[in-house]
Amino acid sequence: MSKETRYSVCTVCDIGCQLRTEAKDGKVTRVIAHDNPMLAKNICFKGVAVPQIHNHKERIKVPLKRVGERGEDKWEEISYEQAMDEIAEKLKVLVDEHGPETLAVSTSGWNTQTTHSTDRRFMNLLGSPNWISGVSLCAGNTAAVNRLTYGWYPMADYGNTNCIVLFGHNPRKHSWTPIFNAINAAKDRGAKVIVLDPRISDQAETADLHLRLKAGTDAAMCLGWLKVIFDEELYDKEFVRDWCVGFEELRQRVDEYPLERVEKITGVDKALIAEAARMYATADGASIPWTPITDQQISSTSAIRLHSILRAVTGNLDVVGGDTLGGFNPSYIPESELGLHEVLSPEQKAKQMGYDDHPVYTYRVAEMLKEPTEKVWGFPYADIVMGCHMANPTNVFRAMKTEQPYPIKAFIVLGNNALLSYPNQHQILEAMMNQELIVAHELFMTPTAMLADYILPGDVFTERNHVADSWSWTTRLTLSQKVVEPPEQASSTYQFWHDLAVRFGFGNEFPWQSIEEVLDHRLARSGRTFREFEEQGFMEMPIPEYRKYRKTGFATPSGKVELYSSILEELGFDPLPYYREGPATSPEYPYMVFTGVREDPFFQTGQRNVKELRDRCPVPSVFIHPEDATRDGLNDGDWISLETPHGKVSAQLSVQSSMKQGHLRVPHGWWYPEMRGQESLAGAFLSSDAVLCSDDDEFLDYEQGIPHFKGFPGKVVKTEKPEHLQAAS
Amino acid sequence: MTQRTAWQHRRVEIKSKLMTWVANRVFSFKENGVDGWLKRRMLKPAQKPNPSSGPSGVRQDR
Repeated sequence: MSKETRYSVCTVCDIGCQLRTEAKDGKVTRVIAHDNPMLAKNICFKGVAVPQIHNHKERIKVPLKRVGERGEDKWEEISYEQAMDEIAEKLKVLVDEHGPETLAVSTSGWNTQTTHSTDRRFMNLLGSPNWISGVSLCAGNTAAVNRLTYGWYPMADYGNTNCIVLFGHNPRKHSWTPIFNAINAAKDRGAKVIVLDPRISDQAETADLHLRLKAGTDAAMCLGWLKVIFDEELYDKEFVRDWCVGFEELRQRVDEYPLERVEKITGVDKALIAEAARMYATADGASIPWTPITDQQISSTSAIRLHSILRAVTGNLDVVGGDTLGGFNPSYIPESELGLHEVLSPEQKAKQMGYDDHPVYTYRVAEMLKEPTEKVWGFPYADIVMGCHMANPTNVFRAMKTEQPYPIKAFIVLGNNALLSYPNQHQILEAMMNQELIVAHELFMTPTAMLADYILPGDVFTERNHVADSWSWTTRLTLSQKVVEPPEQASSTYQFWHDLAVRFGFGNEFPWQSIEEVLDHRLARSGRTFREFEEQGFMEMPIPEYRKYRKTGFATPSGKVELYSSILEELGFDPLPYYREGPATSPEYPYMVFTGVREDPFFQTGQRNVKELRDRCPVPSVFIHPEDATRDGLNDGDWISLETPHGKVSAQLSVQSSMKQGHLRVPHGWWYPEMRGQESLAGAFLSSDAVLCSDDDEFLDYEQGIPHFKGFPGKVVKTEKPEHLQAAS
Repeated sequence: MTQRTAWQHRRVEIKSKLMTWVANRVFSFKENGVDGWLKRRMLKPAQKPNPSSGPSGVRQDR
């Protein structure tokens, strides 16, 4: 058989690098850089490892049905048709007994899944609003919060910017690779970089300014910047006058944060705070790119809003070199429309978990934004980065565990290791153990899949065609071509939902028989089929329009940038941004712990079973400052128990002078696939950071209900290398 | 940022739009016409990977 080479969008992580994939004899053999020099640097060692991942001997290729106790990891092989028949039958019984809201779905936008809206389509037809995703903690929630202020979710204009502000974000050669390359290109043009990070990260080492703030104090820092910008009149007066509401109220709030106070909260010298604020505000085009750090704090909603407000008042919104308002490509039916959100009744929307107490990214706010959204976008539900109509994960897991306020008894997870992906892992386990039906659509036997009743083998990006639209974050469309056939019994997520829909009598709403037919439908507005699209090129971008608000206004109730949020006010929250102190350290727990940190060889909880990647990072490492280590009698390479009031994990200590004193940095998502059969759930509770963090109400951001990953108290205790790890090594 | 005049806004916007138009030509598969000409003018031949440009084997601690 001849060698095949195709253009792919990698979905090993969420960045979506454009690559080329080679296959021979029906197997992926190599992933190589794009042949367009403008894209050739966008490749990392996770992408290069795709043949090892997609051809992995442990990949699930046959549907499995649980035969032992839940979590016992005993299975029988069954046919796909039998699995789907039984899943449909059991789900119908549960829906009849408890109502459609008894179904919850957790998913990702990568791994086995590229089109989340078919989940939503099925759920909306069924009547369940309880869809959750890791994007509630990363980018999706940021999109929803951005919409409160100006109705859009901007993307940094790296190609033209003269100043980049990185709030804890640390793009590197092998993590967020295209962003890393874009920042480097901007630096080559002379752009300034300001990094705000407790650690001396790679980006901080080469930044023009590095502000080593205490973890979790982003909101206070932004209020300090605004204080400088307002006092020194560095804001865009014309834009503020014409396009913002609530300036005077905001200014009064900002006056509550003199630099002396901000210095005390953040630990950064006030002169440096002022210098950074001036550098940002006076640059001819400045960007504050999305950051996964601000997403995950106790004042996250305020901090994200403050980023939005900084962009707006400095005149950087939707201008060349600033933060541009992308959104929906007019040639491509967005997932927002494909999801059929309008068919879910208001009564069912109101049952969405989080709707009452933490509503910012739920249907409750989506309903409040419907009218302005329709005015600007032409359709009522704008779901950007999947994050604008979600249920709250903590509320979902509580309901799964306690059956209050109503029982959630069926849980479908697609390409998502849910057990380790949200805070309070012990609660998630109890929640899953209380289910009557769990279905996992997966590539590998993850701890979450081990808890399922049925496991359906999924497909991967080299086995399916796709046109990626960056989940409506930008208007760019990129081609991803299938290069090999999936395993015979594997299904795409579309096929899974289609086949379930047919069994529920919704077949007419899933009229497409293949992914290619879905793509034909989505491309129909441009008069093209998928085949015609793929013949034209590997990427296309509509000619950008800047300052679009001049034609349409902003998609907010006032039509303007809401510095004072009318939506937050109506919901009973503080309509102005504020800083809220996170949980304090104590003599017993003297360190500030920050979790959720990405390691280069892995994406989230994945790839620990891929030797080529695991060899680069065999065990989880907790970083500590040398003076802290010396004081506590700890040495580099020691095994430690990291303990918080909520839980404890084992890890190896890495003493690094780049760390800020008093802080501990914990990597995300560790489990040990090699321990399957020896340790319960393949060691899912041994080193996972999700064990450490509480999601009790006092630790949640008020408006979104997300936990505080960036700065909660903990301690380290020297220990022996755990027995289970000694056996495995 | 606050110093940019209306005319300066317009100038950089036109430049950015032009560059996007050019990029779309460069991202197409066409080898002839404007698309092919632009690609021949703008793009260097793709480099073969070498140890310094390819993925490194060094563990990334940060």
